[in-house]
Amino acid sequence: MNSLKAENIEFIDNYLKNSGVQFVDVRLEMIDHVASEIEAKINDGNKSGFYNIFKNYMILNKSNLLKTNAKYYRIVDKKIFRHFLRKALSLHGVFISVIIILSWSFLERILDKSQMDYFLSNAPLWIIISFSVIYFVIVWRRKNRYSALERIGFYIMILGQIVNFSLYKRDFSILSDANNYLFMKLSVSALVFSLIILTFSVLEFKKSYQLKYETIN
Amino acid sequence: MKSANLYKGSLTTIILKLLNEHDKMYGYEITQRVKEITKGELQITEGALYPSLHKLEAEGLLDVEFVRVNNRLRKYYKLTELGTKETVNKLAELEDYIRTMRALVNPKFRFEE
Repeated sequence: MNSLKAENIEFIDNYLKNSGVQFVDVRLEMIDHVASEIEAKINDGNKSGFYNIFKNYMILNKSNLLKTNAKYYRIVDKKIFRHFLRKALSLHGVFISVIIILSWSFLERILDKSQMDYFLSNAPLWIIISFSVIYFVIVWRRKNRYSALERIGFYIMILGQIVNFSLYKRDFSILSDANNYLFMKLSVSALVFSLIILTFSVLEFKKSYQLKYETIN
Repeated sequence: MKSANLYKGSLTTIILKLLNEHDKMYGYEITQRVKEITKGELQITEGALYPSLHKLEAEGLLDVEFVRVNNRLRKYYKLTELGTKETVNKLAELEDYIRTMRALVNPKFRFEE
């Protein structure tokens, strides 16, 4: 039984990476599929050599193979959404909510009205910047790119854009209105809650990817 | 393969059924097994198989295991407890569908009371 050499596997890996399959969790399975197909052809008596078999396989199947990559985003989104919901509705979610409520009551006790207005008008931007920094520290300098980790980064960026959009030219003097004050408080709470859950998700996905893809020798 | 569209809706059931009969399988193995059983009539493409496998994994119906084989990592899939229960449901659904279709295309066929 013939099997491909390490350099052949590396060639397939580089080819797929250069074809836009950036995430290890998607590419790894494609490499095995292509390599298994080539090995089967060699074992069936095809003597044209690795590169010719590979080239012919890709001419016929490349577009089909890359469909997996395109469809993967939808699956990853669902995976993250389920994880987010599970986490938000778990004891962790309850604990985070309690901490947020206690933090508001603490802030309202130590800050006067004008300080609170100032805090509410600036908090969203600082919160999003802080969590973005935490995210980059967690995923920074990773040799391998993983789909769910990068997708969560995209969600944090979207949250940042929403915050940016909602703060742009906003008249914070209307915070004195009770309804606006409550709206701002709820928005900041939702933002902090979502970002904490997403940060937990990043840590859990990172651990799971390391365990699955980086511990097997 | 004659009409891929007719098989499309049954891909998940086919995967679950095969995994129910084997301890664990990897993607390429599944495509080859289907080709072998159907004598080449049905050939599952990579673009259809892997998204389905990933979806089933995300839904908690499949568990995965990684093994290093011939200089590369191989991802094996196996049914979870939930996946085993879902296989029974999916197979029952498919059998119902086949009976309904048979009744429609073959007038002599009647539903059993």
